[in-house]
Amino acid sequence: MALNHIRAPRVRLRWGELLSPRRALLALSALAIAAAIALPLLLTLWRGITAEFSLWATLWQVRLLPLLGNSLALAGAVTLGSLVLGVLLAWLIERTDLPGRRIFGPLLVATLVIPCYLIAIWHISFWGPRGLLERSLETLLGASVSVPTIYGFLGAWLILMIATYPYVYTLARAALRSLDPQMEEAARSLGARKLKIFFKVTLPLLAPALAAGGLLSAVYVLADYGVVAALRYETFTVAIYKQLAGRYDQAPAAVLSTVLIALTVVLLVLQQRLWGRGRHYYRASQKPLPVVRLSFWSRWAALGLVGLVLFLGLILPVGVSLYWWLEGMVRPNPTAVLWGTSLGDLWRYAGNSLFSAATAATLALVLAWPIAYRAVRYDQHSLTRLAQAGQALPGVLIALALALVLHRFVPSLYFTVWALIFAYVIRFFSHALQATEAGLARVPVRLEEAARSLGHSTVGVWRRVTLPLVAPSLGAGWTLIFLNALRELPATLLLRPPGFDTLPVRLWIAAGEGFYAQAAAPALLLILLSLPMLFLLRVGDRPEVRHGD
Amino acid sequence: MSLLRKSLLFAVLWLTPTALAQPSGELVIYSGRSEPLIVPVIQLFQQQTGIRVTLQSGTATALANLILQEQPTPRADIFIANDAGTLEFLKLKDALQPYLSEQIRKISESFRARDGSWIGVSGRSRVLMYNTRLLRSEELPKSVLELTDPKWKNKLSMATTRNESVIAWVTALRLTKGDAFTKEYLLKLKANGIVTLNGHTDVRRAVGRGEFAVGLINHYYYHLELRDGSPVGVIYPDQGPNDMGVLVNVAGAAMVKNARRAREAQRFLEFLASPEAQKLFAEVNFEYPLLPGVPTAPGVRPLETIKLMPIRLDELGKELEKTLKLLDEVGLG
Repeated sequence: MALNHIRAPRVRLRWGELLSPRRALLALSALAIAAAIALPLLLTLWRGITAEFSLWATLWQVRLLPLLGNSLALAGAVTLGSLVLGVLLAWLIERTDLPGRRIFGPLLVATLVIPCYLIAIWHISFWGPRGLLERSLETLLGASVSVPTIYGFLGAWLILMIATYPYVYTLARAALRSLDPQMEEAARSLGARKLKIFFKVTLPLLAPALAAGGLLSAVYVLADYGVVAALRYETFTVAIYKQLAGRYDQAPAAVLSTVLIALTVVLLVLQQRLWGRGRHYYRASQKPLPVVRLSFWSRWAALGLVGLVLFLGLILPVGVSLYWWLEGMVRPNPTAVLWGTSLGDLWRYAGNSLFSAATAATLALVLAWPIAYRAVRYDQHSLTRLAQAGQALPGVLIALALALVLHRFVPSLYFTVWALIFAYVIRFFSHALQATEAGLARVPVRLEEAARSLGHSTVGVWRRVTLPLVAPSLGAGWTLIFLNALRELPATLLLRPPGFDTLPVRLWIAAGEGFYAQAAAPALLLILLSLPMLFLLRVGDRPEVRHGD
Repeated sequence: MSLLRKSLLFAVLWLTPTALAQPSGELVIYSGRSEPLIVPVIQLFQQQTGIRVTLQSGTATALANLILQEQPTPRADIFIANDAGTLEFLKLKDALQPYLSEQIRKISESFRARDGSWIGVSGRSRVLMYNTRLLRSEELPKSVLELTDPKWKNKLSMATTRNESVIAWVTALRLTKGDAFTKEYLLKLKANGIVTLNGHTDVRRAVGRGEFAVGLINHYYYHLELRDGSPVGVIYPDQGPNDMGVLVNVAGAAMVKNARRAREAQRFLEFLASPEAQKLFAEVNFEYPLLPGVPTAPGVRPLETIKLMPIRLDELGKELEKTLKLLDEVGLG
């Protein structure tokens, strides 16, 4: 995190420099790339805003109001839940003598390895009507038992909370670690009790980081498609998806999208403001923070909570997918051939997934370079903002936006692998920018200048000095985009060309038809391929891994 | 450096063939039907003819939209839809290539476009399915129009109004009962808490599990759920002498205009009209075969014994856009 503060020595802009062909080329290419990345978003907004007023009026009554209610209620409840859960868990791991906290610490972030729509699917197959739980209870007790329904608001809330608490948790842990113990000591010396210290001293100090983390959860909920679709809770993304899949006229989809974009942008701006404020802690003392001793009962309660969270977020999804996979092996379904679950088919889906994700990650980094270079070296950040537009676009919206753009301007690209890859690039471009900017900020300009003065060409300097120094940062950025693209669901569903199925698409379609055994193999493979994420999380502790919406 | 280089090599060399090989099949089919209901038929076609097929599954409307946008250089050769209205809509937009043969002429003209722009392949009637543990036989509704009664509050489910079978049913209601009546009826259903699920498979499973007492479905979903061992029954509604009857729609197929593989596409259409394929639709899916002489599956109520709505299938296409507008005004999910 600290890297973000280190700025390379600034090169002062002189007007004459604009005339240099190198600078002009850089500026032009940066502008072109940023425009290409932001165009789909802008066009969607344009389509929405210029839609007929009567359409807005009709939609406002029958669609927008209920959707706003649904989306905001869920986003609010999830944010609140993940804040409480995230802070509590972070506090238990960082500040108490909870047994096994060294193992639980990283494990509690490991739930991010499982895409959230997978968590939803396996929870449905477990708790859902005629699911694994009801059936095993029936065999055990011999009587029919009915479990309260998992569908609807409560189910979506629970799953999304499990999916998003890691964002708050990582931020809260980092903040707790950087707290100054003297504050709490002062409070204790004045006679304050433990709880009072927590609420009056610790929590206010954590507040900025927490608000940022909470807003991240809210943005996440607004962008999610898989969980709410699987759990039958209608939010904006579901409505837009249905509109795209079931109507010829795309103007209503554009109107709904405009409202969703506006909502997301407000949250993102707020989030960046708060995050910017929250990073600066003053820490005078180097003493480690005191550890709170848990009483016997609270220790068991805490262990129970950690266990429950791990069970819901990690053990149950992995266990259930293993169960279905074994079930499919032991009792092959005659209709299984329909689902292309042979090893060869599986490799084909994996190949498609890997290819599109790897190409997208590489392309994103290449395209991010001119913009990032301009931002870091010449301190021109306007294009960075523009190019980060994709962040505000849930996958469903990117599909809609690309459909609008490609259909109009480059119809030959529509519904090709490249359209899909471009969608990933737009969606995850902000990661590429952040990684490249962070890397470039570490390369002193003087080093480049020295190499140039020793007679190296521009390309030579770039290849032999800049790139090696930036490489680790680029590598991390590449992996992050790759893993996020690997699990992307809604845009892939809407944009994949004929015959090009990826692992998420396959498991989503199979599970949607209730063929869980046929969804298990691609699901497990996807989890396996996502395992590098664990390493990434441990190193960076950055809450940037998405759940694939 | 090495990491970046490796990833580049990885991307370019090892995996490019996977992308370039797409689409690899000889015949490209866009299918708006649920995959398990169409894949067996396509597999039989591949076995019989040796022609490879690339299948793109999705919603019929999204794929129809794609076909319109891709003209005049379509990727798809064949379009399969779960609704005659969607096919007729494409015909009106001049996106289909008529094809008639002796075999295809055997299918009654009421189930295909007269000029062969599209052919009906299998029939389905729009019925009610109920859970036998939740409803006794004397409680059953006799008409879909009864479902607005408060006693059905929160007990009903149907597929999303984005589903083409649902849209066709609403069009039929409009044509029989008028726009104002239909809109009010749908608003009353909405007020009665009807739940719209993603598709008919969801509806049949939900009713089978007892989440809802009644579901509006196509008749074969009842048979599929029954085969899965659920306690379900079927109601053919509105059968009284003064009632409106049941809508029979078809799932059909068409050759896309300017299709690149016209000969293979024709062979596919011929195949769909052949007794073998028709038998498959009847036996695997419990649909009505449309080729005279192919029997319906045992247990499926024959078409001749059902009172049908007097709706011509091509009307479903002409009226499609008006229905969509009405549905957007109602705002069911």
